Amino acid sequence: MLKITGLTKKYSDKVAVDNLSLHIRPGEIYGFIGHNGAGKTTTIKSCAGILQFDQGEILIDGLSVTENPIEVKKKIAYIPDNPDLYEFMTGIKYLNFIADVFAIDSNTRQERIRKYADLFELTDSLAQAVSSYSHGMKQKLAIISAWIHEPKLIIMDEPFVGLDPKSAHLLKGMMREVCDSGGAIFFSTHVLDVAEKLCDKVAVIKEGRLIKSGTMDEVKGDASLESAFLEMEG
Amino acid sequence: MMFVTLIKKQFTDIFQSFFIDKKNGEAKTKKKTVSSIVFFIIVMVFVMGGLFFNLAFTLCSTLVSLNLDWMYFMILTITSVTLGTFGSVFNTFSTLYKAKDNDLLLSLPIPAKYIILSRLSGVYLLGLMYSMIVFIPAQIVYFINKPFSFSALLSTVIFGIIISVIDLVISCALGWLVAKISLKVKNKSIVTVITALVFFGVYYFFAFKSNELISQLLVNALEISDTIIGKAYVLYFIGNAAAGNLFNLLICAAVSALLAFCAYMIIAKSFFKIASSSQKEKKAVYREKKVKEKSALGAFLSKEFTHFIGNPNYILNCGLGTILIPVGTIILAVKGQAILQAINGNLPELKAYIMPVAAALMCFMAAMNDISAPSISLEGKNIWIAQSLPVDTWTVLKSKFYLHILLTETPVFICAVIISIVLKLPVLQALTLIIFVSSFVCLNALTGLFTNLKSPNLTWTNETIAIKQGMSVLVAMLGSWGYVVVLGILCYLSSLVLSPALFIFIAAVINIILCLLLVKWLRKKGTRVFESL
Repeated sequence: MLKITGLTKKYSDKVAVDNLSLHIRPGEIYGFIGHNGAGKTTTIKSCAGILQFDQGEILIDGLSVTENPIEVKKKIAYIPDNPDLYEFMTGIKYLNFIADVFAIDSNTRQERIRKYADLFELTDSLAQAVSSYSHGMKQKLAIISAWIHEPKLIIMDEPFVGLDPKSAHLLKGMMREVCDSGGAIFFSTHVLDVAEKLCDKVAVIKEGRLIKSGTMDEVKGDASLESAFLEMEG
Repeated sequence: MMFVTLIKKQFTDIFQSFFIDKKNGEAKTKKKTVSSIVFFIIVMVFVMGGLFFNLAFTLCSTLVSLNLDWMYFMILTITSVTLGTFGSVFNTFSTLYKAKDNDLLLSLPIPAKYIILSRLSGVYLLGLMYSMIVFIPAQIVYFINKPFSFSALLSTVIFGIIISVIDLVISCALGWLVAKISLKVKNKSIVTVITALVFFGVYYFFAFKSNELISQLLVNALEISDTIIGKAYVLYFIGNAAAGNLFNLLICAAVSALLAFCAYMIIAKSFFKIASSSQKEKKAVYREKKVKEKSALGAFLSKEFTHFIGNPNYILNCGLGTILIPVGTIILAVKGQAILQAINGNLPELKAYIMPVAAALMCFMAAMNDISAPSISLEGKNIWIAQSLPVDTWTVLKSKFYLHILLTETPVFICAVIISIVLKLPVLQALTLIIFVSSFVCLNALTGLFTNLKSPNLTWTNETIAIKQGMSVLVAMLGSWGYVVVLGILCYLSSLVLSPALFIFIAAVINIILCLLLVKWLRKKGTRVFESL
């Protein structure tokens, strides 16, 4: 589903991501962990096609992010670390905007909006301006907008930040559903407990380099993910 | 001590623009702070103060010679209170009713009266500052015309304090009114735009008519004085208080103190309610309804339009042409024949330039619309949305271009057609005029996009910074006006070899060529710049 080969990205002289390779298969929830500034967001943004990288190749469902950006973006959804949405729109207007761009017909979008907005208890607030939303509400809106076109791959940067426990639980369920239906999830997180319980595979990045990746057991061994991570970080 | 700290915080809020750079939220250097304070003083003292010195000089000698000192003070008191109130009313609304730190301060062990008084001190200071711009020049001019005495100076100081207190009371009352209206009104941005336009209209009306009004007042001063004494005795009473009548002064001081006390009691009583008034806003309830699907371009265009009409600053700073063009068209349609006859009768040699002049006027009005110029910067932190969606970047840029065209081209086209009819232009000239102004609007829109891609600012903390302080807006507007001026000069200089109508046709062709070049750049390089932002 997502194949990253030799990804390298530099900001002036600083190498943010150094020759990183990862392969995420359909049905997998892939966690991406590392300390602040390790290169997670840079990798994620490169995969989402919003950051131009210097070397390497990123393929999504067999299509190159750089050569077929539009076709690739039709297959994916991206949620950034901070849900900066159009504050001048109402929640429903924003969702319809996203649905229009993905050419989702009126009935289907209404059905999906109803389903997910009810699930996240956001329906009553959909007529209000996004500017009046709390951080958590914005995050929920960003999640609904990501799920609205049923993408094959969902790329998320810290998706659990700002979510209440119930919504976080719902999101985990939704992530599993995507994978059960043949999709894949690639997300970064600092919440190692969540990663340990939720992810099929995990990758650890340090100073732009991938230091370990594989199944949860391969990465953490008999220890907890937290202990293993702290040991890897030195 | 606690109260002093609160007042310090309040004053820091008011004057933070001297110390904090709004563009990046960082502290200004000492040099920048000093220069912005000096600039502020120059504007307040020399520009605005100078304006009111002039007004005071015009009124003082005549009215004092007629023994109408009270009328002189009455006029300047009204002006002073008006300026003081308007200067602080919006600050009152935001400090009293919209303060973001109300919750924080209420959670601390601070008596509510300290919070209210510190907030009111900020309102008082602003009102005082603005009212003194009129009051101080008025007093100086008065002492130049009348012998100076210590008692007169004392009464001046007392009356100055009375004015500032009255300012505070009126500001509180109007601030309360603004808060009430803003809770009820649905389309706040449209109401803000209309209010601002009415305010500008009234201001410009009086600014243009001020000389005429002052001369009428001076010619008929005695009659006006009798009317005021007969029908508006309060004004006469206040005027006399300002002129030094001790009894009147004491009554005015007592009344203003009473009003201030009442205002404080009302605010103190309802402070908790006021502090949480934002929660009382009626929230819109979502009701599912059938939506009309749009294309990607339609969706982005709709998004741009929603953004535009949702921000009064965007409308007032970049879309004023959409309102002014129809107004200009109506004026030209009504007065056009008279202007035409006057030219035919008095300056027949100018007849050939009617079409170029009309074209230039339309271009100047159209150039007041800079909708596309800040549109890239306005994406701000949301730029990831357009970048991550499956839509080609040219479509995103086109939506910004189309919004400019829709809101400018439509009134400009109608204006060009009506003017062609009113000025009885031959068909070919009318067509040339329409093509020229239409191509100018396109050029303006494309230039806006080009300049914004060249100098984007995505890191603003407030949209107003992108709209008002953006380099692209300045370049697009001044560049467009400069371009029209250059074309005007060339039109005049080439009149020996080219007829003005033919020149406009050539200019239209140049516009179209420039548009095509800009479209080529935007499609090829502009899209890449947007993707890399």
